Amino acid sequence: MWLVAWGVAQSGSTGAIEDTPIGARTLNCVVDEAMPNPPETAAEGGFSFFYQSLAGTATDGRVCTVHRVRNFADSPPTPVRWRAGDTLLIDMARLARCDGSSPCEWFAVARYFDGGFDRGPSLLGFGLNADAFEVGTQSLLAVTDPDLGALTASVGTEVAGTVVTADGRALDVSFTVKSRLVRGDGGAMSLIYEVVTTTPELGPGGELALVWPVFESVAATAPPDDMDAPFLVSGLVRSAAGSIVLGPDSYGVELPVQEIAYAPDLTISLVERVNPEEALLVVPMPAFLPVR
Amino acid sequence: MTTRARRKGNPLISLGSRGYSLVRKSLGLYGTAVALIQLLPAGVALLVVLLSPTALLSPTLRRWLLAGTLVGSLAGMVLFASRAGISNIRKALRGERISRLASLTRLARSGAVLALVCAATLRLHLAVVDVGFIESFEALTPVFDFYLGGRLAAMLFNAIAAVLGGLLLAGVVAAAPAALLARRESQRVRQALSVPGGPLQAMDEALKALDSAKSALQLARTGVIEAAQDD
Repeated sequence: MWLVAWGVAQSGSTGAIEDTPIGARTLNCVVDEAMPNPPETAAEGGFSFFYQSLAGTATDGRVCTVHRVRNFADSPPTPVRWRAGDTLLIDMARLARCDGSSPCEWFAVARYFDGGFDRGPSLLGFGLNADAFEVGTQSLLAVTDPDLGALTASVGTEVAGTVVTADGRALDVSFTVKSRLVRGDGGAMSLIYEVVTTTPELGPGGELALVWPVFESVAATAPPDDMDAPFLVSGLVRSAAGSIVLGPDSYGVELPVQEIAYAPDLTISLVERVNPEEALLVVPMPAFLPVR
Repeated sequence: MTTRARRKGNPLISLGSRGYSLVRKSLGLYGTAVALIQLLPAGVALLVVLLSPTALLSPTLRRWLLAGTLVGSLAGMVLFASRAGISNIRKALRGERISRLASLTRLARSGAVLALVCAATLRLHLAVVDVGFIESFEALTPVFDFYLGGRLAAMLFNAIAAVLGGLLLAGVVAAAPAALLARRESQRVRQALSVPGGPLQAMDEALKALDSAKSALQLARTGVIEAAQDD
């Protein structure tokens, strides 16, 4: 009797989760394959959350993958690190607690790129230090293969969900970061690093910022000393070499280059401006880099 | 003659009664043993839970704790060596008497207290990131949320655990040999006092003589009373 009542309470608090239908759209990714489907649960030590990887075709025709996690109702805030070998998929300081009064939302990281996707083992670490508990799972993994000789090439990462600041505030964030290569008339090349967002916290005067090592590794591409820019760059490497490209919801840095290389393993971190050393979120964000 | 007296008189009935009583007592003991054995798994589980907090499942925390306990062990060794004195340790190894007994006793006590306090604090510290514990003590939820709030907070948690683990080991490593040396030295002092012709033996002989005198006086007292009653 008590066991039945407990079971009912548990299913009520977690909510049933259904299969992800093929053809459904998640962010800008139309799903061709989902793994696991329906989403599986990582539940140990009192932490419980759903996880799932998706792959398919982006709305612009390129390939996309999505990795997403969703906390159980009333489950504690959970540090999560999802890796596939040396490749980082998602590293969250903590997956936000949701109080159960409304359905908990997915935290999703989508990648858009030229190439394909593969199936492979991955490891979800969670709990203290994001490694107290581990769940092994098969996952859909991006295999990026941009054509550096094409007229244009682009890789991008989109993030949508709730992050929790160091003082415990939950902030909804939604942004897309892109690294683009554009060839103009006469073969002149330029690289554009840009972020598209409607999240006010990432806008001018916002409390959040993005740290992308692309600006650290190539000082000449660093955006100018603009405290309102969504990209945070250390004072040492600030330079006015790039020109700013502004749109209604976008901020970009354009840099003319002669030769380029592709760095597939770069990551981007979402940080609080007051505490940039501590990332709230780290996700993969490859980039095209100038070759000196 | 009462029934009880009759039973007492009949050896067969007495034997049966004794047998019955024995069986009843055995059954009681068996019941207690069964109850205790049934409780044993729960006891073992409680002990396991107490000694293996879920936080220790984190390899990162285990690395911090290992570093802390290594440093603590070294500190404990240095503390013990400085308090006991290298020459005293050499003497102890040669089986000779050593000095600084009071200092070693103090070190053993303070080390044991430090180790106990740190063990309890470390266990509580590890418990504050345990979901089950926090569900039982909801007032500690902000502490839980803080420590699971990011890398710096987690690093602080790991560092505090390492310091507590280090102090615990420092206490144990300093106190245990100090206690053993102090105990050995106390035994040697007692042995020295108890040698034939020594002060303790003289005291023991005096006590024996006193006992004999007391017995003689008791006998004399009884004799006096009996003589008075005869008169």
